[in-house]
Amino acid sequence: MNRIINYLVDAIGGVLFYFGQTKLRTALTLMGITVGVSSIIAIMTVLETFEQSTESLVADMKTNIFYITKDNPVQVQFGNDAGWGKRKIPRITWDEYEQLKRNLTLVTNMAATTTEEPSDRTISVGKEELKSRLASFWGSDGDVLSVSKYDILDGRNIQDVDIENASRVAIVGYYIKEQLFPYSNPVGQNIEIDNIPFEIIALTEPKGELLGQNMDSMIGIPISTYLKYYGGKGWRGRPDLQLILEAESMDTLEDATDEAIGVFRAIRKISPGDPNNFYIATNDQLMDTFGSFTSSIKIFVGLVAGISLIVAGIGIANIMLVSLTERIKEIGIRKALGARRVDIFLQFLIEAILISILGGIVGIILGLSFGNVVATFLEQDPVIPYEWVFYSLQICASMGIIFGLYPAIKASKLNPIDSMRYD
Amino acid sequence: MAKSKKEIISIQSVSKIYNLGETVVKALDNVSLSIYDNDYISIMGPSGSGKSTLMNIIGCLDVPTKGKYKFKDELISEMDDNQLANIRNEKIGFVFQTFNLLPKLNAMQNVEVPLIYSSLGRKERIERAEEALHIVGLQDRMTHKPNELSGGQRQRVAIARALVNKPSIILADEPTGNLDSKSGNEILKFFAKLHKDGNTIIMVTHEESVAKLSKRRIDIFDGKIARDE
Repeated sequence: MNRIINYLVDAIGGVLFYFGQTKLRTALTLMGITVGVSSIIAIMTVLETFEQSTESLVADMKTNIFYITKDNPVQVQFGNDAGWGKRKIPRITWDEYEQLKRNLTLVTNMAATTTEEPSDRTISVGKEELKSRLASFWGSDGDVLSVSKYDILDGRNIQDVDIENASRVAIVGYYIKEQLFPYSNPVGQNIEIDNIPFEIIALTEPKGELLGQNMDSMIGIPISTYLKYYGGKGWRGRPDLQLILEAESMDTLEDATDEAIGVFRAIRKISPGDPNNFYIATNDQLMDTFGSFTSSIKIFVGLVAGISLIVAGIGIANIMLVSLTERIKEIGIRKALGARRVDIFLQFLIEAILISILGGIVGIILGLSFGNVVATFLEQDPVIPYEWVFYSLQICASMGIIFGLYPAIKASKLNPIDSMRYD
Repeated sequence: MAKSKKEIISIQSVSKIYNLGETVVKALDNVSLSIYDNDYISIMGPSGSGKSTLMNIIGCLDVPTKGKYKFKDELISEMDDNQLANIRNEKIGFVFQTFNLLPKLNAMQNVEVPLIYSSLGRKERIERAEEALHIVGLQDRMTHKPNELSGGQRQRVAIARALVNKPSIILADEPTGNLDSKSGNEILKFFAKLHKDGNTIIMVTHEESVAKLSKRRIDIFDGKIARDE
């Protein structure tokens, strides 16, 4: 045990001494490891912040809910091939929604929403206009607030009677209050959306930001009202509906989605064998899609970092061989004074491991700083991907072992007489 | 030579042969030699005579091609690298012509090096190294690096390093070769003192004046012992 501690102290001293002697050379060698490790840590930090925020979002969502939409709800595609498909895919219409509603048996609840994200509508109170673009403007006949996890701070939710009558009532997010009603309660007051007056019936609690979007810059109205005033006429103005469907439970979710697909295909008269011209997705699928997106990024980063670490490892092997040549005399002296092969072997191996771990620690610090600067910039909470910090240190130690092995073996085999004569 | 003394080293018919491709060099040719406790021996001979080879074999840095080498009761000629390293560490103190100190370490740390390989705890290492530096009178220079010391002081650090493991023999290879005469004399006086204190010293030299100070003189010529008295 004493012997091991002796080696460690001796090796740390040796490494520090050689850093002092060969600052530039060592720094350049370390840079390879630092770049590799810092890129892993930076990307993992950013991905972790995203995962954390989406996980908390999805944890809130009901899992027995599924969606029918015109466009892929998670646009994870590279290149710009989305444009072609979009033109061919028909929008989901109110008529289709009503047919679906009549025919589905396994769905306990169903709602249609239309969402403008962001919205270019002019939002005003008297002569005061909302200066920034409205982040989200939606119309719905269902309880969007509970699905999207908004809590009402004051006022009431949209009710059936509002939908039946296409009432001009609106729910506003906290940002709207801050901007247009800084000194008063907006509930009961009027707001104009594209010069059409609405009565504010509810103010929601502030939610902050999610993935860079201001969740409080939001206005919601009954879908009937939306279709009546903003639905437009003709092909271009017709709104695109998203359908939110709720199965009775998780157990019936799969049957309910199958039924919905069948019925919707029948409504659209899609021949058997033709693909769906709509998307259907459960919350789990949304998460899976996001998950597969992040894991493909992880694999890519892993490859790039892996290559840079191999290059860095070769650098370590090289610097250890150079250091070996410079220290042949020292090895001879140490052997003459009683160092066995294993002593010299361990001395060199420990030095290689220390160099790689040091490079790794610098890389971790840089990667964490960079990743969290990006996270802060994207308005995410800072995180430390502990798992990856641990992996990185492990990878560095293994690299030190793998690439330090050959120089260490070579050093251990030197003959003391010849080595002491070496100059 | 007092025969009543205890034999430390017994070399019997030892040869060392180097195969250099075409030519075969007999560096040592059938050499037999006994070294006793508290001997003070100088080994002399011209360069190429085989005295360095004999030193390397006595110092367990090399093993003979033929013959038997016994150190106390251990058969050195049959040992592997690691066993030789342990013998060097525990039983032999080396003093070299060029000092062979590690430039990155200070005097204290240089003296500690042999102790690193003998499984001693840090506290004991420091105590032993301090003691050895006291013996050579360098207690005030413990934190100095070799390049901050004079030649004589460096050689005294090397002697302290040789003494630190309380070896059975001290092997000195031209210990005054790189020193001015004043420092050289100091070192030789020091060796005389070490001998008086009971240490066994074997010294390689090519200077008559140095050899005269020893109690026994061995001359090597063409790989053979030409004189032993």
